[in-house]
Amino acid sequence: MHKGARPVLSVNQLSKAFSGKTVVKDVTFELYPGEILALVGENGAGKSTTKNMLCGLLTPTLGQIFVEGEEVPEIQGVEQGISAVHQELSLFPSLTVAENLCINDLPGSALNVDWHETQRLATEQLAFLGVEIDILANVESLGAGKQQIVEIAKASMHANKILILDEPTTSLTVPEREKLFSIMRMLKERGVAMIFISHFMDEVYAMADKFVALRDGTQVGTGYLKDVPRRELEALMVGRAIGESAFDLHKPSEKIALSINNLSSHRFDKVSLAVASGEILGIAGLMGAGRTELVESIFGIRAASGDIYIDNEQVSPASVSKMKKKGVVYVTEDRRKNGMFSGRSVKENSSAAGLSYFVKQLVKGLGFSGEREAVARLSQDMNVSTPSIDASVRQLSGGNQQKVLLGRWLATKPKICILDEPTKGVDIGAKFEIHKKIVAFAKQGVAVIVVSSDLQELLDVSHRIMVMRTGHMVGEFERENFDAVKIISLAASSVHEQSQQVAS
Amino acid sequence: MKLNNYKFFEQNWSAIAVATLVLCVFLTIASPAFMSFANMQSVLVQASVTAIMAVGMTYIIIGGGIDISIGAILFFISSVFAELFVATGSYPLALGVSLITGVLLGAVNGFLAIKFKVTPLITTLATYTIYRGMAIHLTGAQNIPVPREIGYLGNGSFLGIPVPILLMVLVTILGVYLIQKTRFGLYLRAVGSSEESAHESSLPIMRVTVLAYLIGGLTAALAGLILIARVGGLQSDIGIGLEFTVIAAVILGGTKLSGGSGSILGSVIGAIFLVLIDNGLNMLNASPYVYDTVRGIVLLVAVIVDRLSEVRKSRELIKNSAMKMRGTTS
Amino acid sequence: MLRPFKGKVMNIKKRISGVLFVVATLLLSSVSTSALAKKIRIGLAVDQLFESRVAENNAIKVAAEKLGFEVIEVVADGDAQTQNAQIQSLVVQRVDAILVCAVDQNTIERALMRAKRARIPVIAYDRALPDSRTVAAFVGPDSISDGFEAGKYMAEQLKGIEGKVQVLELLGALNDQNGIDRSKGFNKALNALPNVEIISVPTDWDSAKALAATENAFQANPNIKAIFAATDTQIPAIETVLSNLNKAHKVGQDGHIVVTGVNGSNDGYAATVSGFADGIVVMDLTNIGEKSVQLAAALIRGESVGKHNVVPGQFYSHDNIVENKADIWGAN
Repeated sequence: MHKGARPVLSVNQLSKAFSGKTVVKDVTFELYPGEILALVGENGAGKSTTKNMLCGLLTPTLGQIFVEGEEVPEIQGVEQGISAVHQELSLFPSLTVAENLCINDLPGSALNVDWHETQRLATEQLAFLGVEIDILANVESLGAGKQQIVEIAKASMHANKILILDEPTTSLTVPEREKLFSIMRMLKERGVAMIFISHFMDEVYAMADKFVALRDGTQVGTGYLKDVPRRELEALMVGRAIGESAFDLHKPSEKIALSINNLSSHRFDKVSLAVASGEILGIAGLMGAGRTELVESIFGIRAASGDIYIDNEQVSPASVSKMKKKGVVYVTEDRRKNGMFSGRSVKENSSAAGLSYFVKQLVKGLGFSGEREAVARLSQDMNVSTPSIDASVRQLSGGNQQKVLLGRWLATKPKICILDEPTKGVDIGAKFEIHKKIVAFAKQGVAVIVVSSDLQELLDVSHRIMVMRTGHMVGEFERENFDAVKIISLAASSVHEQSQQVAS
Repeated sequence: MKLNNYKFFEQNWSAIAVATLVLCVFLTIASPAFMSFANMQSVLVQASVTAIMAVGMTYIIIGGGIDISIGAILFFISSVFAELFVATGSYPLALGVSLITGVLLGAVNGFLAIKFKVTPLITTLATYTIYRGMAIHLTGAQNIPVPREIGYLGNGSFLGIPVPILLMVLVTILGVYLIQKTRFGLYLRAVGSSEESAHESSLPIMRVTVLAYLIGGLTAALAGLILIARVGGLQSDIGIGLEFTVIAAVILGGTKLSGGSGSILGSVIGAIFLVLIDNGLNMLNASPYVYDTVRGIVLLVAVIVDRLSEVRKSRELIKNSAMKMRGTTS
Repeated sequence: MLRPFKGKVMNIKKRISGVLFVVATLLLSSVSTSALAKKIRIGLAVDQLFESRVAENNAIKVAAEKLGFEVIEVVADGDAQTQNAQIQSLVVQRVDAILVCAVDQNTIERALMRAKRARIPVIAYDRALPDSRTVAAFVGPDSISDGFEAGKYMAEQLKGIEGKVQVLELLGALNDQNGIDRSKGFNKALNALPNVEIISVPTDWDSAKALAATENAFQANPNIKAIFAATDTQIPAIETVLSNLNKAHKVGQDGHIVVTGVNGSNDGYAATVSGFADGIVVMDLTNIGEKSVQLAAALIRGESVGKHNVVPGQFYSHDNIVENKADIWGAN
């Protein structure tokens, strides 16, 4: 579309390695003025590292960068007309909108700031973006959407060439999202190029001209979106042929271990499901679909109405202590916050949940005889790589921490196991090992529910996948019918129409 | 339009202004001697020391810090001034060295507060002890009389207005100007508002913070010179507990300890308010045994009034954002 | 000198047997021999340093030196917790007696209990600890008498004035026994005059507060005829106020406001010499210091002593103060 013009940014084989380990490689694209490039990929595909290289926070290890045709060693940011809007906002809450917009380049002298000019510039900038925000309001008094817009206004104030937007819509309401898109169109018309990071495929197709797809840190495709059908792009991101599985799963028993019937709360509505002993049920869905809330309600952390049965015995209303007694364990998404005693040793973390399973003689004699041996066996079982079981878990990698945590709960010999994002922030190798453990575990007859944003993970380990969207169960797939593209579209595609319906 | 920019400053000090007004009305009715020119003048003179220091403290608190060593700085400066004046007999020399010392001590506080990421409460508690100890060492805990003739800063008057009042007004105007009109003022509010954002915007955090503490030191020095001129000399218990009076004035004035915003004018009114309480008790010939109780109650009421308006504001905020939330999820 | 240590050993002998006995005996004998070789040591726990306290401490040190005692001085800087710790450390150092001017009675009582258990006699100086069960004796100024003397002279000056006479009393701190007693004595003396009205304001010993209080009092009551300062270090602040009101007339001049105070600092001395103040009661710090050390010596010897020992001060007026300069601890 801009053929003949000079690209405002072009990168060639951009790569980044941390202490010798390559996390992103071979990112190559050209960006012309007024173009929007979507950077897509699953969680952990290397989007943020790429973003950080493109906005100057990280220096690439390899590769070439050309800004307006001239090769530069690294991106510097605002001086080159490039700036980024990160997921965490960088505004000053107690300053006014006008002050926030102009703080990096105040008109007037140091001893006499020209507030008239500041306000004029701010007004002008907001008018330019076509938004109406009181420039004299404190940023903290604005809602999330307006703050996001102020952030974009601030970023585009000084960077008139390239604007990088990292998941800008996640915390926005539907009208706010529309406002944001109209601003992006406005900037596009004025020739500002944008790099747009989003996991909403319909947003990508609605806004972007071209894409760079990343998978496992490698660029797996680039091109114009009009040439690539959506299903093809999604397959590219997911990476495997549809339905292909890494595990040869055993057949679960017929016996239903856990079932819920019409469970509702303000975050989800009339959800029913059943898991058999030895079955692995995957729950897919986008962030905010209500997956975590659902399993938290099952475990009794959140209140919900509806029926919960364990071994055909009604246990609702659920409470954590009741569920624990019934042999249910819940391994949380945020292990640092919820489950891990980060300053304590591997040994203590492993045995914390079920000391009685580890310790043969709790009172007799001094010390917990058997604890060391049991933990050592467990660590070996779980393939925890740790210098010793007395090492603090803080020293372990995310994957190993997760293994310790899983091991801790699995050691209590539960009947039902709920895993929320079991491999979040875990590297590929450890991920595979955790998957193996989950499968092996189910084989012993434990009913497993896995909640994950990583679709591939669910495709790999689940017997069955249920799809949640905005608090509803919207689909169910048996393993033989697994279809990544269908699942993704079901989880995400109509999210906007959905919330629009809700909002209106 | 121009003043609109400072809308939120006006909101900050409105509560204390109303409280002060109410107290004045009450005292005017209760005591015939209260509402006289002479008494108003002496109230302002008495408030000057706290008010001037409160201006400096407001800067420090807006920048996200706190300095509990200012009473010790005041004492140290007064000791330096008294010793130097007695030794050399030169008023300008003693004055100049004292003010410069104040600047240095304040800067040291700022440097420590920013350099070691310990809470400034701890670092300034340490410097409090050091400054006070150094001053006691310097003077041997002796009282040093300062001749009344050179006490111009405390007792003089210019065009019929007592010098302490003039200094208080001058410091207030300068204080308001610095915070509202200069780049430093905006940067300081920014640093106090969010240090991470300030870092990301590469604002000169170090320079701004040190400057705020330095202003705190300078105002403490100036206040010290006024105080010893008025008291007639250096005494070793000077400035003890003053930091709490000053911080109380700042908080009464609507400045939040969390930093990022605040009101110079509010702090000055807060200082006047505190003086009015004691002045009123004196005017009413109150029993000496009720002083502390009344002081406490009046402070509590003032703080409650301030917090009530704050709670109302935050309730509205929560209501607004709750309505927005309802749009996204259901 | 040997007797108390021997007693200690005997006592322990009764209670401890076997190996412990041997160890304890060895330890104690080593302590006692080293203590024998050493001077007698007196712990001096000071609340905080200011002019009169420094003078008082110096008097104690001079008296101690005369007896060949060593003084270990610790200063709490007005912090009760610090003082608590300091007294404990004096106990651990096994001083022979402790002289204490308490920051806060309740806080130090625990530490003083330890001293008592270690059989170290405790003497409160300057500030009485009336509720303490640990203090063997108190030595300090006779504050009631001091306040009374300052009041008596003032009453004499005010005698014969017709109509209501307003007097401003600048109180010390309301939680300080000396401040309370000076006020008691002062009020008693002034009650001799039937037509007097006393306006009392607290100052917490703080000159800045005294300054403000005086200003305010004169705004409310412009006809105040006399001012009593619980400490004469506040007299310069009073002079500031009266100068600004053009009321700083000297003794003997028309419209002179009677000013008296208690203490004996240079501030009070200079003001009395100049005639701004009528006179001051000067505390006899030398005597207080000597008495403290003598009491300590007696207690160390195991003698019994009087519990409450006060030393009255001496009033000096504008007329006789210069010739008595040598007796005024603060004059320079």
